[in-house]
Amino acid sequence: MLYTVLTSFAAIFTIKNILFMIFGVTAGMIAGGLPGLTATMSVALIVPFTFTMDPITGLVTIGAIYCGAVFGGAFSAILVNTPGTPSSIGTTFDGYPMTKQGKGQEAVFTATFASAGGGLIGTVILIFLSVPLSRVALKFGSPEYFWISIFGLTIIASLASKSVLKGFAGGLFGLLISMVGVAPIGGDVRFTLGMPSFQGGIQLISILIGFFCIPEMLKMAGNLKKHKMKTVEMQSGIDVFKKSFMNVFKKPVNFIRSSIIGAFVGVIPGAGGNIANLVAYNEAHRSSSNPESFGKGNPEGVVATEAANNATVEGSVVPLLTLGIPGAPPDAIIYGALMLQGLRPGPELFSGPNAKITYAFMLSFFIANLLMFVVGILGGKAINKIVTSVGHKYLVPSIIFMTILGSYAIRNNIMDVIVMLVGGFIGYLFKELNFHPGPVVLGLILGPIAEKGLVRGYLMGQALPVPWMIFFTRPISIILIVLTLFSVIWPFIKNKRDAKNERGAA
Amino acid sequence: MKRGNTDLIGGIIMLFSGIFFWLQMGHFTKFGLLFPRAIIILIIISGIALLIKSKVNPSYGENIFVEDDMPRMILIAIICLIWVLFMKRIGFIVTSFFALGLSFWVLKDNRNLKTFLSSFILAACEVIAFYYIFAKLLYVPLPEGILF
Repeated sequence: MLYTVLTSFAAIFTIKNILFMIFGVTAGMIAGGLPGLTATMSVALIVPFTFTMDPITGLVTIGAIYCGAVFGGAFSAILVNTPGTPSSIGTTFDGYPMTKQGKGQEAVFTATFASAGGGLIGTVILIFLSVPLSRVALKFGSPEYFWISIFGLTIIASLASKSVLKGFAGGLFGLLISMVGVAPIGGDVRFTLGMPSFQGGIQLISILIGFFCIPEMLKMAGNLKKHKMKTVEMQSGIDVFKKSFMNVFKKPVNFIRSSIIGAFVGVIPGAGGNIANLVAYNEAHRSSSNPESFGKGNPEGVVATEAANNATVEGSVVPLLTLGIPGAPPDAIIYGALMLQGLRPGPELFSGPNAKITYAFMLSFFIANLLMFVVGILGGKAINKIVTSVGHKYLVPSIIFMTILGSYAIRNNIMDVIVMLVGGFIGYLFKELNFHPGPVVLGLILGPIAEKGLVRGYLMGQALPVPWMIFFTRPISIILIVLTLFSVIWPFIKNKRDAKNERGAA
Repeated sequence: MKRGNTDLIGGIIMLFSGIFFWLQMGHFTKFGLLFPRAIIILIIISGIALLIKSKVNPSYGENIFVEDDMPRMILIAIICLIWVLFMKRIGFIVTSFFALGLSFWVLKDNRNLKTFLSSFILAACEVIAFYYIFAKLLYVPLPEGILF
């Protein structure tokens, strides 16, 4: 194996491959930063061009685009409160408040350090733990998917710490919207109001753009005079760079934990960066010594989400390469690219002449993450400068224009744009009523996974005397139930412990 | 509205949403009904809980639905709505040019002929640039409508 790894590593280091990777990372970052252009779309766009390349060059370019696109979502999340990709939802929670405090550059640099670092940890996990992790992922059946989505929903308690009841209601509202369209089991056409455009369901990215971006743009339009971005003049680029480095590595536990969460969530097929970033944010919030600062511009929140979502990229490649199961939507495109190159995903990728190409592809994530760091630091400074120096009277219409264009481009459907705008108006209403957008979006993401898990699990349980027992008797399900209960009870235990400590100190 | 009981409004919205979805439930199969029924019941319960809270221990929001320049914000929202509703019928380039130009102009401090022209010139440049990127480079078929 060592010989294969070394020859594969040497094969990546050609000028052509490095140039293609720089192009891939940069193009991916631009696409990821534009709301509506997803990592899947970016990878899909480049695949036809890689067909004529030799396999290693083609695959390293695709890998670089994938990394860049997931990272690029952080730029718009931090600077204009719009997650460029669903993997950056959590980045808006603390990234945008940092921008409003004049720390946009610091937030972008922190995200760059965390993303590149998370990607590197993910690559190590990809190379050394591919085979054992894929065996664990195969043990996940429908009841486990149901419980993992319920575990995911417990994050609401952290996201909506101001009012858990409103958070819970918001989560249910998201679940309600997620049910529009054809039922995953049974095929019923539900809640479409007779409109065929809704049969495919509500497009997640449209609602995401609407919920996060439109309310902010409307508020900016209504408060042009007072709504000016601050810039911290006294800090030089070097100071910001050092501070961002410290944000990530001064408390390495948060960064390492989030990267591991990202890689492990990525391994589970169907659970990608959109879930990983919120789970990592929740864990960072829960274990922080200063949890009340989360949501107000705490860099730890940015570190958690960005380390997790970039580690997911490598994690999601694990089931693809080892089992031929795409871990996330972009991996389905990569599956096609591998087939185009004559490579059949599965155990045979790791032996014979294919092993060199496979390991080169996996190792290229190392280089892609390092290049992403360089491009992120250089580009981040420039983009931050542009966003903070352009007046809001120009920024607001331009961003609305991009959100309209982006939500249309997802599947060339005008209904997605209408949904985005209506979602934006509802988002504004919810914002004014102190409903956090996080739980709504979380419900929207986890709804289909929870429903499929529940109904399929129920069908599996028909063989048992009590069908529902299947949800409580499988070992992984029991672990997930314990984790869910712990996640629900922990805030109360922590509050009680803190109150006791305060009394002791007094 | 300056100071409002956010629990009361939130509760009404949740209750209304739950009832609306409940009324939309048709003759679904057993498996298509299992999950929606549970969620709708839970959202109705959460709405009722918020309504109870609004009477027992209400949360008040300061300055809700109040912005410095509310008419300007509403105008931008209306422009967006018209933009989106007419984009397919009239065409991407025309609607985007007018909506974007008008939005730039509405947000200007001084609204006169000079700023009107500069707003529409800027809008034209932006629309053409993005049209070229999306339609010509990325092959996204943007709505052409009756014009283009």
